[in-house]
Amino acid sequence: MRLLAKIETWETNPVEVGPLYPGVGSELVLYVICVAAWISWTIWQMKLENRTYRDQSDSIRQQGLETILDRHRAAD
Amino acid sequence: MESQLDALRVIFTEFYYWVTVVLMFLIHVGFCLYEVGVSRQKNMIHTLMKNAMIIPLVTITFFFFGWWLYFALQNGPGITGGLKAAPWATPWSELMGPHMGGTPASDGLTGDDTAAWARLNGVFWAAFLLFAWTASSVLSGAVIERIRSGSFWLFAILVGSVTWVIDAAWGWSDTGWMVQKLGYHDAYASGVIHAIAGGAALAILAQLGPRIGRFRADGTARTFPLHNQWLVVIGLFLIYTGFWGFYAACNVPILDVDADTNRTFFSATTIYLTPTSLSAITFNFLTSLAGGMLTIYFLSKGDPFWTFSGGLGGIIAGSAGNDLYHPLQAMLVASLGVACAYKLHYWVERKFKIDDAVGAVAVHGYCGAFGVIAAGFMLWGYPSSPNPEYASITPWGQIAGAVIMFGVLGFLPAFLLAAALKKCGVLRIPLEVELAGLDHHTQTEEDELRKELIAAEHASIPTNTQRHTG
Repeated sequence: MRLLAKIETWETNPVEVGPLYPGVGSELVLYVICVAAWISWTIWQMKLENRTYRDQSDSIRQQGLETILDRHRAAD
Repeated sequence: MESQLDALRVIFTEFYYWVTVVLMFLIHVGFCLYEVGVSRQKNMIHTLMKNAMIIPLVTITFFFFGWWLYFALQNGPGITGGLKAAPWATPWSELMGPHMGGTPASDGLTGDDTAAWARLNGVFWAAFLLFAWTASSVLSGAVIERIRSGSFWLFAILVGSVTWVIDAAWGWSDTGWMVQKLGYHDAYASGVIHAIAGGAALAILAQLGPRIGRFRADGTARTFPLHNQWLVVIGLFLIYTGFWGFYAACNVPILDVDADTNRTFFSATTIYLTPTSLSAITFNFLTSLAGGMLTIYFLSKGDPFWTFSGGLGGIIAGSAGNDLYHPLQAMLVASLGVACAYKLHYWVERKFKIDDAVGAVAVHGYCGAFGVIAAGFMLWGYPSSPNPEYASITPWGQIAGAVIMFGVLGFLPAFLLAAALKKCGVLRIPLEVELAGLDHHTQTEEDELRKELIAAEHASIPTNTQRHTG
């Protein structure tokens, strides 16, 4: 597979070798993709956390905080 | 690298920083253990994950923009010049990946620059990244058991990949404007890591408020028993261990320090390229540690939590000048620093009802700011740089530096972000969840799974008939 290959032989003058990774020239595109992925992950995580706390609060109210705190006391 | 000596120097430097990075990893392991040990059992997993996720988030953002900020902002910009070019540090540079250093990586780089950065970029980046994790982790302990993880990670990125990097560009680089104009000296980062992180932690705590039950009706503070004191102690010992790597990483291991170009004299240097040695900083690291522990043991009447924290605070208080202090000076500066921080911690707690669960603001913030100011008096008149045109070290330069680190870049940005998150209602967890515990649902699910498993095991017990026929 030579689609992204940069190095084709190690029998060369090392002083002339620059980047070793495949796909040289695609760095800016990779950067944009990764920044977009990070921002998307942050938004997803914030939404997940909001939903989780909302569900947990409902569930805790249904169970009764006194009951839960009594259980903690017993465990301690 | 055509000569063996050049190759040895560069590859030794590469290896040296790589070792410091591995050692510094222990700081993060220590912080995780420490925080989990301090948090109550009902919040353990949340506390662990909140801290652990600093690793990926600060790593990628430090790659995206932190490393470039360090070089680009050394002039302010606008104080001693404009934005600096740093073609090796842009996230799309060829030198931010595996590179042999042969052909120049961009128009702005010579062949020699390319060859050097090809070998050193990754390890320098990683050493600074581990400092960034440390700065973010300092915040983490202070705010346990009530902050939302997503909001905390925004603070971690703000401090780890933005504000501490700006202060390092200004005051912890050989051409930073604070070094040039103020003679700022902070060899092992009392201010640039610890004061800024402590200042930011204080700002978040002021907006976040105390844990439920922390203060009695008369305003006095209740002590929360440590959930696991052994985790706390092992965590702090690991942080001490990692700090050896931190100190070594603050040095340049081998450089010609002779100003006369006809002679050479190789030495280790600080980040300001002023001479020091591993031997000097080893003396001072240990005597600062000793001074901090002895003093807090005395003040707290042998409280183990404070005594171990005092060792860390002592190192931090001595750090700004530990390249030049006599070991006994380092010990005395550390002792005075932790004493001030210990007293200030309780005064701020009483006066402003600040609930700092691990004493992070005291150990890092107050000790760090104290260390910067103390270096101004102790090293008054010393040159801040080999460049004779730069300002020399003075108390007022260091006081201004402490204000910039703790207040301008530490407290202020974090306070504004905390206020914004609070206004959006996403800073603190809901009251019910805080009372029930952040791990309540995980623990409930585990209880259900355990019951189901036991029921399945009961169902698999062979009956008497099956036993006889089987």
